[in-house]
Amino acid sequence: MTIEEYLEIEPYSLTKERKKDYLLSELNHLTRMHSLKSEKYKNILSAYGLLDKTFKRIEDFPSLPVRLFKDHTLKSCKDDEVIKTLTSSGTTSQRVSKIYLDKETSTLQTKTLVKIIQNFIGKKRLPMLIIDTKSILKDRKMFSARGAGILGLSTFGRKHTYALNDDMEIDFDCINKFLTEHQDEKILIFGFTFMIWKYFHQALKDKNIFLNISNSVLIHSGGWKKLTEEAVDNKIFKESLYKQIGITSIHDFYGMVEQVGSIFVECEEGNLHAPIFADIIIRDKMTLEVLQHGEEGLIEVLSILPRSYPGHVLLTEDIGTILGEDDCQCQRKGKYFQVKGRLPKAEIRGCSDTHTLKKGNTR
Amino acid sequence: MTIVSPPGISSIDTFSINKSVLIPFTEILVDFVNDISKSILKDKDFKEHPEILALAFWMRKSHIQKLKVHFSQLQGEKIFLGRGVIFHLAPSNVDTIFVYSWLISLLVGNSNIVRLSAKKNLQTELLLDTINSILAQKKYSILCERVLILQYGHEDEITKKLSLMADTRVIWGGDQTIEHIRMLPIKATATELTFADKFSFALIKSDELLKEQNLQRLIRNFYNDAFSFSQMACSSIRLIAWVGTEKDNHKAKKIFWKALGSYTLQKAPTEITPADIVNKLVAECSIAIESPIKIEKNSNPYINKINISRLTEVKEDLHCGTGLFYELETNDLISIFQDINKKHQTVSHYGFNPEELKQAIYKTLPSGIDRIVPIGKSLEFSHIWDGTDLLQSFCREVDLWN
Repeated sequence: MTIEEYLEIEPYSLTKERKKDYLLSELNHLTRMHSLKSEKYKNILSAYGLLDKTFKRIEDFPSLPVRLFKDHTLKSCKDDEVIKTLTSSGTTSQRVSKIYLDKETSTLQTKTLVKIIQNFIGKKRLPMLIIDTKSILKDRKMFSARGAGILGLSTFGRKHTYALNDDMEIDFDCINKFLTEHQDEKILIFGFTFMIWKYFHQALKDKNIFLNISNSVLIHSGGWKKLTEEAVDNKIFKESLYKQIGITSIHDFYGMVEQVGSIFVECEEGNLHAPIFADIIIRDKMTLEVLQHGEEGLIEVLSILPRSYPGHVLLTEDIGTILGEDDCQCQRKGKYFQVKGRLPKAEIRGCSDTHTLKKGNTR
Repeated sequence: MTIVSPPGISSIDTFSINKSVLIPFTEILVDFVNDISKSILKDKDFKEHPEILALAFWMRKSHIQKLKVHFSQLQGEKIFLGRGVIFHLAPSNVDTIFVYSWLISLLVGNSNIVRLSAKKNLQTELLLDTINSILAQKKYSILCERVLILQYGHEDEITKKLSLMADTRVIWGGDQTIEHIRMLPIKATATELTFADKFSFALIKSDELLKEQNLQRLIRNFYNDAFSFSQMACSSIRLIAWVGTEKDNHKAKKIFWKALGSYTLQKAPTEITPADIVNKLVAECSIAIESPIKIEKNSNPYINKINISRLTEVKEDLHCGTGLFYELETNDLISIFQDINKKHQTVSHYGFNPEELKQAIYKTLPSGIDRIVPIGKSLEFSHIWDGTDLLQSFCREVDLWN
């Protein structure tokens, strides 16, 4: 089966046996291909004695720590084949990941994203309200994670309307016009979790404004770190939004700029789901050994999409738990899991009393 | 900025440090050091801080007496006097260094300004409390006038002001700090001592290890040298060079790692966290990208091993500590010494006769290596540091001709 054929399969329709065979062959193929095209990746495999090996289990593939993409340019295509460079969001002082996309990878990302999102919102393009400011898209060559996310999701909407102005305030004229125009239609709302909470929900609440957008689907992402600091969890998030805008269909998704496309979307039961293009493994935080379902550990993500950079098997610094496989109440197949947050940072150590942080985050 | 000592001072502008030196090793100086030592050794709070206990032992009267003898031998008939005001910039993570630096300088009669990082830590706080309570004694008022200990962040204005007060500035690393601080001027008459980032390693003679009756002692000593300060001190062992025949090396490695493995699991150092496990993985991959290394996988989270064939393959700045070891094997001690560079500081050895190592030094005349000590002594402080005798560097000599 070619990857194009595989992509035609419904993203949550395969049970583990059927999914495993294809993932194994495709990941083996990718591991070999990246080792041929990326000298750096080849050196890493060679150092671990894993060059030219065929792996028989999903958990045997060598994983790269995600942070490696911040320290190194890892690329499996020629410079002139790069059509887009994605960067992770980060404050100016932090180093950002740089992910190089060629035409093929970019196309695969778009296609899988379509398959996944359609599973949650249907095939029809919906009027789309984006909880962000339009200026986030200004620099088209260097997409930030936020920009890339918005652009990626934009394909599912029409009449794209940005809810915030450049000062991060709600543009009520704009929203009201949009809502009047699409009164009886299903609407797609998209934004980053924190942006939705702070600049949309909070602003509405402070002004004591209630909107009726109950006939809509909200998709959001970006992580819970800032919200956790404010003691807001997914349940509070959903309840608060329901109160303010009457919405019930809310889906978070877990994904990273290093593996755009193969995202893990939250189902009606509140669980994140691995589509057939991706998989997830939980490892012990200290020994990195594979853990059983139900045990909490480091999240490793696998995706069959990355062709232009060796990012098909990545060890994240996120913590999570797999709840089960193929048997979620929502009927979707595949592993389903929850993310609990991020590993706390290591201490800065050493004889040095540094002024700026050098390589890595120690020293 | 906080002024820690002398107590009761709130601004550096209202305090003027007494710049006149005292006679080296004069009684009051020795008493002061000894009093701090006694106070630490009496205090139960310090029992769990081996570095501070080591410091207290170093400060004991009997040891200070040895330093005094050493100093008078150096001095002979010559005239040695303190340089005046010494400004010490302490490292933020090896908590005790500032005390060694300050006290050595104090013992030869200098007035001292000490900059500590703003990062609070329990050990340092305890230590400063003890020091202050002794400084507050009336008999030490003469020393109270001659000390200024401050805690502040990276505030160049303060460092600049203090630098211009100093006759000698001492910068305890790392490289970036030295580079940065050096942009702030010192007086034309002032001197400067710097201690850069360094890399240290162990030399193990394999056939000796195979004969060892008390392997557990070696393992304990090695563990302390490698795992204290999360393996991030300049003297921490970060590489093992195995010297012997291929067969002996393999056997010795097997025995050693097995024993160290179980020892680390038993100790389970809590300062090594999951974030460090990821850091070590990042370090391994980063090093693999740049050097032809072999990484040995094992399930012990405290030990990561990277096989290299020559010392020159080490990427010093990619090392992240917390149990990451480079390893190499050779049958030829000289080949290791030939690869030594300026960044190499301590060689901790096992199974060698010091004379053998001395010969290797003379044969290869390496540009680096500041200390050669038995395994177990890597982190022990000495007044001779990075090739400099501090007792001498904190003094000026008045050259008197007959």
